[in-house]
Amino acid sequence: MFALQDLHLQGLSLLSPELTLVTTALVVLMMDLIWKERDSWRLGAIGLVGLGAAALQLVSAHGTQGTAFGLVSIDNFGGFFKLFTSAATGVCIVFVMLDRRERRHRIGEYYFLLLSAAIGIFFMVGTYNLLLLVLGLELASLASYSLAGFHKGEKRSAEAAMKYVVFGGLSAGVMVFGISLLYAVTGTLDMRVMSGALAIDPVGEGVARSLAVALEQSPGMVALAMILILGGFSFKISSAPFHFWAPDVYEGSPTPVTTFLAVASKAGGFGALMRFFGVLFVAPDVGEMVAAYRNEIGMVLALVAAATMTLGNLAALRQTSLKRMLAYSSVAHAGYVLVGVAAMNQAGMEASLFYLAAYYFMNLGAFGFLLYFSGVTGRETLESLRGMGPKAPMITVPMVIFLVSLTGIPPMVGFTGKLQLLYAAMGPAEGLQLGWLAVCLGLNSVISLYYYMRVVRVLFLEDSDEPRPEPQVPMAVFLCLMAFLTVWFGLFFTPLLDLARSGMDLLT
Amino acid sequence: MHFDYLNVLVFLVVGFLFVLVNLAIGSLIRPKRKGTEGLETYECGEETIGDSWVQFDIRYYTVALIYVIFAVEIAFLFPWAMVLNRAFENPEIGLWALAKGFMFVTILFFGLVAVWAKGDLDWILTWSKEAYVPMGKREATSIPDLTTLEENDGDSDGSDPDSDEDAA
Repeated sequence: MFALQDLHLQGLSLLSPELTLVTTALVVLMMDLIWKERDSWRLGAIGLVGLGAAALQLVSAHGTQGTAFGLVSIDNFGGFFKLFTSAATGVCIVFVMLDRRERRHRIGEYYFLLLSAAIGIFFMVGTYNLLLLVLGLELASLASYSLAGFHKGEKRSAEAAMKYVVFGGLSAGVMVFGISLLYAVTGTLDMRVMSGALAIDPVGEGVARSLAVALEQSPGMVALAMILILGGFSFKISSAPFHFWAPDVYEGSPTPVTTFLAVASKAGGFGALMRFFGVLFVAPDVGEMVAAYRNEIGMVLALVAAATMTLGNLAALRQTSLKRMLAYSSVAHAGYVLVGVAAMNQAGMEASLFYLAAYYFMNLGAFGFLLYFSGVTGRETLESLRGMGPKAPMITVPMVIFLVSLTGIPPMVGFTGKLQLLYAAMGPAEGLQLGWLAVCLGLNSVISLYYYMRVVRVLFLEDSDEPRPEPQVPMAVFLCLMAFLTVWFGLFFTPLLDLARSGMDLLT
Repeated sequence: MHFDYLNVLVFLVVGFLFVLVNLAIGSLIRPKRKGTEGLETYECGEETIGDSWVQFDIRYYTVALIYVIFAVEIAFLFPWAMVLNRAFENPEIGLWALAKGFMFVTILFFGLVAVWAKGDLDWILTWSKEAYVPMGKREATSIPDLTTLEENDGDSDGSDPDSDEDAA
């Protein structure tokens, strides 16, 4: 008699991190109405507590396998990205709390939207169902659109939001069209049913065919669907040819939002993309036909990766604005992470997860630096950083570490990550040749050295009579911590590697 | 199996014919008088004023947005209400379904409360340096011009004594 109720309770308990976040978001919204404050830290603290609780639940659920309501899958892979998202969102909330320019009216909505976007990412990375994936993606996107335009009355911010909405709407449409084609040829929305891992669709009805059968019957439709879906993911991770929005949106958005888009939102896109291609093509028991198709997909992804990193790095060379430069650098890093996915095997995907984890530390640090300097000087140009190095060493020395790590120089974590990616490119799935991609990755690292080191040169080797910037202790502490972790995980990378390994339980 | 879609074809053909035949009959039997009034835009019997390419007040969009939220709520509640009756054949499922419906409405209700408290339902908005003026104490002032708006939306922390406490 109580079986059904138990099933519901079990589903809800599996969803507890998501439910915690939803509750937190609503509490933030309501407390904002009650407290009516302009100062940001009390509401931010609620958000941080909620995210911390969600993260604790995720950590304690590590290793749990299960499916809630036939839609949301709980596994280590999703757990990795959810943990990543909550950690990144937490840092963004800290950034909002530290940024004096963000303390304006509607601060409660700021946190609410950040948390909503995080919830969207949670559902996006935690499902095999394409419909729920699109829903999560849309929730994350809608919240991000409004966040990008959060500086009301500022033209750059409005322009960023406008561009983001138009590009986002277009690519979501493209992606949904691709998914509808895939549904037409397979009769299911569940990736596991498509891959043949599940015989019966947990939520659908009617006859479902596996992808192998669909490939035999209508290869053209499958190819079109794959390209369209890849287009949708491309937008989310800002890879070529859908990267055009990234620099403008990243530059125009408030810096904490840029951080969110460049770190959490991008990782969420990667989570969904890796789950999709991983389950359909990389899982060990795919048939011969799918394996052959996998190599073609891998080649497409490799081309996209090469184009993305090259375009991103070449465009970053000429930037005079630090924020825009970091935006292009984030595009280039999407290309790097894609190298691991393009290898189309377990080791490659592990390398991608590892690189994303590395990217978390170094990129959050770099954006924190940007936030601090644009806060004290009011400008985001490289010029305004001239000679600041010796004047604020607690802020600039960590930045040098982040830049070195972003370039991929040992002993930082970025080097270890790039090494993993190079290994992945050298040993891709059977029948796939990606040696050229490894060369491309190496060359791109050399290009990126130029523009990352230009920042170091401006900071330390040039001189100006600008006054010493006003110190900000919490930000300095945060940057030093991130820099420490960047070096620490570069030297002792086993914990991160284990995390990435355990995160790839999706393929077994 | 291709004949499964024959009725669609028939439907399309009949649909096209219905429109074309009726238009043809109309053009044959109607009186042919060409006047200026007949060529004007029909706007519910009113005389048209200007064209429709004017800038609408931004507040229409806010109201439209809020309307859409609750219209969608109703669209979701209808199927829920339809199956609720059947769900109560097993009281456990029924209670869960009922609870879930209420959760959904409660979350949207929070949205309404937020919108209301932030003053988005007031047609005459007031701008001030404070986060928002409580409902009862709000004065209807004239809408400020663009420059004061930008000042209020820009960096307005200068006068705030609490703003430096995090920036130690």
